Amino acid sequence: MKAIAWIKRKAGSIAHGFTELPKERKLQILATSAITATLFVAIPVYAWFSNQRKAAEMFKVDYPNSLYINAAHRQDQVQFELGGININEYLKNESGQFVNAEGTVLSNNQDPVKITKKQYVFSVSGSNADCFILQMAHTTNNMFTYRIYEATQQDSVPASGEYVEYKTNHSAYTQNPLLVVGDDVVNTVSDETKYYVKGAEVVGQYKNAVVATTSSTSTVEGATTTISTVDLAKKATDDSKYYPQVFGTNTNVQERAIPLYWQNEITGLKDEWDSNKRFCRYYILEVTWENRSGRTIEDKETDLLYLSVKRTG
Amino acid sequence: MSDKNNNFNIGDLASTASAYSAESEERRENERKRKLLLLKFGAMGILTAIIIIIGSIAWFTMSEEVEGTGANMTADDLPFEIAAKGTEGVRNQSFISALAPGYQPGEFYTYNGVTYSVTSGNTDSIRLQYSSGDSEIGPGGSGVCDLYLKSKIDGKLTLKIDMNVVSYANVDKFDIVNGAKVSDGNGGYRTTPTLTAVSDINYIEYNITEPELTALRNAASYLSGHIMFYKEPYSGEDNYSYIEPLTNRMRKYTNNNAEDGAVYHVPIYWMWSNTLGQLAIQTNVNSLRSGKPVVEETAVDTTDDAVTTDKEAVLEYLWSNKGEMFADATAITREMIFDADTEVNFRELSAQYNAADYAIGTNIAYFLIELTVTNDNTQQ
Repeated sequence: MKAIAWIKRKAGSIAHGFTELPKERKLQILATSAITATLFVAIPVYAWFSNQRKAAEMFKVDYPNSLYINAAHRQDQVQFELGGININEYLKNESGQFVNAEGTVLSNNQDPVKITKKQYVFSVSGSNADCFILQMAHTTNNMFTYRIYEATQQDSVPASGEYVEYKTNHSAYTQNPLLVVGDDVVNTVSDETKYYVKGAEVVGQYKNAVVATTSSTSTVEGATTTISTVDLAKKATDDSKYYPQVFGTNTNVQERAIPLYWQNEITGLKDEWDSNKRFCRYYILEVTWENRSGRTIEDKETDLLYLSVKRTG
Repeated sequence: MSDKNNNFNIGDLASTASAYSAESEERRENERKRKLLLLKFGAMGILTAIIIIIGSIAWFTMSEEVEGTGANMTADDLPFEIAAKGTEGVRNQSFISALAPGYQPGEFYTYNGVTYSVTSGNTDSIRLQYSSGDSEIGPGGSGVCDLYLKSKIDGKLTLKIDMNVVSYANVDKFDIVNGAKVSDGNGGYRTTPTLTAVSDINYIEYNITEPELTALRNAASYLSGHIMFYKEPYSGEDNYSYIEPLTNRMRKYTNNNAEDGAVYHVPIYWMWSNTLGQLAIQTNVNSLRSGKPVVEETAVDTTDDAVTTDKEAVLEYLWSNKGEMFADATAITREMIFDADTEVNFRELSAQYNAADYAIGTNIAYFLIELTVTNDNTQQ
């Protein structure tokens, strides 16, 4: 009893003494006690934290699976210009003189040589892609034949083989950031010239075209060659007005505005991957023209051409 | 101190006592009440302090060895250390030194003629060495973290290994010269692209907008979800890669006959699956999957709650982590995930999974796989 009373008195006097203190001192005492209590709790907790062992390994993240189609040398797509094709153009050298196919200036009694084709370079690049479908769609207003060939890039004039010269635009590298080992120099300061050597043809199939075999006269040697051309889209039956593969049952279609779809699946890219699993392939689109029966070649027409790629693996 | 307390100095009391006797009576009453309150709190506080002191003293005497270096106190009573094998090399060594400097080379230890680098009380985090595999990882990448355990006791060793993925991205950091940002002459501030842990990025030190930071954080969480851990690889004739997915990102290790000083190999397998088909397809009845399945493909029975097969564990993982697996998980339901063999579901899940992969690839530059090993007392 007495002890309890004594404790109460002492506690009371401590409490009283505490309340008597000015505000500052009260705060100081409270703060100190709080910190001390925290320390008591913190030390055991900190010891618990070091009751573990950690190991780690660092990895770099690869560029995501991607597939790009660009102009030559992975330049922006706007650089891929088909422009106008003048089928009555003659081969000329840089100073405007008529030349033959080898580049020799023609003499006055030799006929000028007509240009028979135009070539455009585009590139397909990507990372982590093993195969893709290359698809081309074009209208048939002009009597053009479109073919795609594989190409290899060189920085200097090739010693042999047919090649296409391409002048890069140093500020047109904004769409595709991929760099491929062996082809990773991108000049964003000045324009450069790249050369693309024509390789094997990429043989695909037209999905909705009528394949016609026509004979045309090759302009260089005067010989007649028989080539298969595609001219029109397939109809439901020969005299029907429906193009079921493209327009279903719609009939108000202009037959030469119907696109012909061509595609080819390109595989085996895994063997071409560089150490970062990236690849870049170049292709040449070659446009040739010839006389086709029942049509005149003098019409001025416009065609639309689409190139697209889709990854399949 | 509440405002209701009338704080007054000793001097005031004397002068007011005579003039306002009724008020001072009230004040004395309040004082008594306050004293009682303080008494109660004081008694409680003393009791708490006694308990804390007794508790910490008990902990102090419980540990075998306590060393203090300055303000540090460590209790060196772990029954194991972890190790990395040999000196083949540390992947992306300059990056781990710069970005995760807490991970140090360990101390050398030789056992059975093989040299390991081992943790200790002072070096509790080490870098792992590697002997094979890519250092650059994309979707489809996989690897094994070669973790070794060095036992310090004879007898039963029960440990828990937790896995974690930390992402690092290149962010424009403000150049700070003499404690202030440097103007770039165009009305903004000069910045330098710096590799930073995504969790460390803030608006004060880095020139980043809110949508950009959200994109980075999403990409980091996608990476954390897409990298999945497995107990062991499958090497039989069937067509799949791993056995037993560690869907809690945790693996338990038990060794009933551990020897003091012996080193045990506990490899942690991981894979960043390339396609959703490898994860979610159950029987491939519609041939939608491209690539090798991660675990054995079996039809999953959803009628009961128990998770009985590896495939079911993977599907449950996809569902409970859907925000981390899919770029836009709002439209994704549990039924879709458990019926991924149907083409409609598959296309949607796959598109979102690939979008998440693309977000990772374009945002995250490096990632760290962290393994934390602790003593698992629940098994003893």
